[in-house]
Amino acid sequence: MRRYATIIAAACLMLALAGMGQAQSTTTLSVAVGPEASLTVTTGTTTLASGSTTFSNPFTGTTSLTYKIRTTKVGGTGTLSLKITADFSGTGGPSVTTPPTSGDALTYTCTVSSPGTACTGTVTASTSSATSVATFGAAANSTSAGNSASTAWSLTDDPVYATGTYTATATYTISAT
Amino acid sequence: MNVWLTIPALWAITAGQPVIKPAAPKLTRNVATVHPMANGSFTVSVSPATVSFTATNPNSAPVVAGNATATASWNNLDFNTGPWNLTVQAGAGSFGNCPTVPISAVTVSCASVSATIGGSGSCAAGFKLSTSPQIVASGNQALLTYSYTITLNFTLADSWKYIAESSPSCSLSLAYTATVP
Repeated sequence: MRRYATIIAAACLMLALAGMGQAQSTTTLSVAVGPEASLTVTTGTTTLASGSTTFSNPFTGTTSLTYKIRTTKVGGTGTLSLKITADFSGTGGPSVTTPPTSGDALTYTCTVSSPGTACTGTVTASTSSATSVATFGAAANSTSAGNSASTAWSLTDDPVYATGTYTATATYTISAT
Repeated sequence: MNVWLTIPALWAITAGQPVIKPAAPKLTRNVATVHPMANGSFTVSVSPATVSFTATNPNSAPVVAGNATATASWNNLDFNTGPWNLTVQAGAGSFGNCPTVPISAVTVSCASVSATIGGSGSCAAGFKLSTSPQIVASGNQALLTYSYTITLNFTLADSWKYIAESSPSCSLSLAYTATVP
């Protein structure tokens, strides 16, 4: 009887001393983050207007954009450009391709928030090739909500333009590597 | 129930001490034979070794699923009863080679739990990864519970704030810890 009591006491002691067992293992999560860019034109239609009735001021207007971008950490680049994909409609009005008067032009200047670098000076829009709005370097990233950019347009107010409303289309393209 | 608990303990206590002789030495020897691992000496296995994400476009795919479901498992027959759990934690605060990708972008979700012979288990709610251990699954171990299997899913919240880096890709070590009674 005393032996059983000893056995039970020893067993209880062992159970009391038994601690929690633990074991560990490790694995790896791997992420490939690709370069990417997206663009939203927030001003769907930009009206060019002149505040003058004496041909002293050009027609002006501003197109606003929101861009998102991330470029590769080493060697990555990004570009934001525009091209006039449809010239002003109608006859007798302004034209990007064939201005009625030498010197008439549709031009723009750029405003781009960091990390973009805005185009320099005044750029003449073209129907034959894309022109720069902004460039981006390596390891550039926008905010999750997107960053702002805009182009301020200027169209010569030429007396030879026939009165009326004319429409052109500018197509913006953003890319990242 | 008490016999099964008592005899293994007696076998351990009496090793090298012939003064105390168990009343049923054959039974004692049998129990010792089916006690393959001492408490705390088991191994957790996790497969696959690497779970990968391919983050391509935060607009069209703001949440990216891992390329595989991970399975954590272990075998441990120690005849103890009580609560068990499995925790997961990151080895660093951000992905290696990609400091702009925070570990909190990764959500860990338990998909299923199984524990053999009387054991129970359930999944914890999904959580964002951190450097602190967080319980992904837990339950109760029964006397004869010897095997556990937990399946896990990982998702990554993609963001434009991340700097692109495809090669070498970004990596993060995860540590799994299984605690049994």
